[in-house]
Amino acid sequence: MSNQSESPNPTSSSNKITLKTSDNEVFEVEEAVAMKFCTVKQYFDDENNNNVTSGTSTTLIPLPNVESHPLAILITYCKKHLEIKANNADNKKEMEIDMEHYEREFLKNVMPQELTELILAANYLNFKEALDFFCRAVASAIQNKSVEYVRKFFGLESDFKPGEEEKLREEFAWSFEGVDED
Amino acid sequence: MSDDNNKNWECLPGEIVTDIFLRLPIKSIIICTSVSKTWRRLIQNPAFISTHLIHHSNTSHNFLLSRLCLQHHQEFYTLHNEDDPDFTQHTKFDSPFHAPKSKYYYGTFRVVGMCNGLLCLVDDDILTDINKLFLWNPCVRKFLKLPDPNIISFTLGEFTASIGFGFDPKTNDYKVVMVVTLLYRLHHSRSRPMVTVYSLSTGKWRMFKDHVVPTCAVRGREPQAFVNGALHWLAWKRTNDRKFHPFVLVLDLGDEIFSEISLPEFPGYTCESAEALGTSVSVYGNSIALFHNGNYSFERQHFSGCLNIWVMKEYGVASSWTNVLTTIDQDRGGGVPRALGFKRNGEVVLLKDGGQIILWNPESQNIKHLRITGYQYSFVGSYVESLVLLDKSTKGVVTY
Repeated sequence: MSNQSESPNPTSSSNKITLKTSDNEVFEVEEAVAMKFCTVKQYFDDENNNNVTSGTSTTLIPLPNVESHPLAILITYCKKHLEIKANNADNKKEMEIDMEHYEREFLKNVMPQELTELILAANYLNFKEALDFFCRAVASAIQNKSVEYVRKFFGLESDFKPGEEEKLREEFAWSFEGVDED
Repeated sequence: MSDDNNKNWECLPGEIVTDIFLRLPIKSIIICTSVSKTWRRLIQNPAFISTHLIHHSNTSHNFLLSRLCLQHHQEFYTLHNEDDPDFTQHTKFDSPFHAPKSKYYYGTFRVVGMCNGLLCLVDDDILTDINKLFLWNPCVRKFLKLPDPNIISFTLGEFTASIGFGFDPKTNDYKVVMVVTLLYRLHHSRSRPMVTVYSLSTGKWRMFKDHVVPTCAVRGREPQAFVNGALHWLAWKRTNDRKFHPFVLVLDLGDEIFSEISLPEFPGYTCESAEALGTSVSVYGNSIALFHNGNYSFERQHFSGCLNIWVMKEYGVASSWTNVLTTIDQDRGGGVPRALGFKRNGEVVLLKDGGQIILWNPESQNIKHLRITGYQYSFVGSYVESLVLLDKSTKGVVTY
């Protein structure tokens, strides 16, 4: 099975890079997109240095720690990111506005549970812009929320001994005032 | 599916979780300490507190102003955005020592120094001059009452004490320094102040050896400036011509060595009486500035003359002192405005004789009236919201 990359980007080279996920799916992506994933770029550069004479335009890069689901989303995000950047090459302010707009729409289609997968994948791929965006998204989701909301969001259980949590809550009683409704 | 995801959150690397924490306001970070033990360990941790501080030092645009509510004789502290031309107040901290149900302390306090979001306060008990000292982080609502300094004793006779507060990056420690000049020795040309330093990490005061302190006198309640890891006070030397020669006394908090910086020559540079010179040192970017607020007239009980502001363009280079402002002589009434400090953009915060606070721009010469009232001990400075003291749950730190 192969996810063909659609909508050719006029600014990028036509070189394709093939990525293989842990669940054995194969993605063929534009070089410009793949190079935003620093882990892929490192692998790609090392390969090229080792095979200067081979001259192949397609390289297969295995990604044993990334599943196909988050990778597909990251590729879409990356393409859009590059597109917005190219469209507003001379206007940083416009670029930020477009990016913000896109990111807002993006988050509407992402379940909180998916964010973990995406963060882990972006972290493994060392895709800085995406990691930064997802961390920002998580922070704004839990900002000024109650302890219970944060636990539910992260699926974490309290591991405090009985009485320990009450003591903490008493110490920081002021911080629990005026938190948002869950 | 849900179980898998729960496992995923738990296996997020610590640096990603802390990256998320760094983007939260302090209140939410504190809520997170109650989520789980792991999270509490990540947050109440000197390494995280220091990362948080560095992250916010680079992005903060807060400016703190301490004011006095005249009706209740209580101080309060307001934060303003430095880039906001209207200087609108966006946060107000009430003093923990004056809350209606406060079981702590009473009295008026003034700020003697501010560093990394931590304020050093002293209560203004005129009878003993120095009574109680506090370190306070209003953002995490914690404070610490310092033990009494080891040199204060009534047997010494009347004294005047000046306090400095700063951070020593070498030992990663906060230090409070007290310079005590005995009044009966003020006019002796060979007397040295007594100096003692408090370290937050040891929780104790330690006396300086007498011979490491230069012969000079430092007037009490003198504003100090913490710049480049060193404290700066205005001090005087008594010379054979029976005059007081002012200079900047410098104490590096890392190696705890004193040094001196010469002052520019200004009218009334030397004077017959140390008390008559209204001069103080202030922070100016990565260097210092000198405020000379005219001369004090004992007869008329106020400062007269003119306000002079000098900035040291290149830190430590005496020839780089540059005069940026000399106001017209206010001798015929009105009083001399007092400079409180600089904003990051170079504007000077001035306190007029009537208490109104104004901003003066040295470049455009524009004056802006802020419609805010300050008081004699109003303190201003760039402020960073920090978590300092959050990891210190013992050793006398009080959460209120």
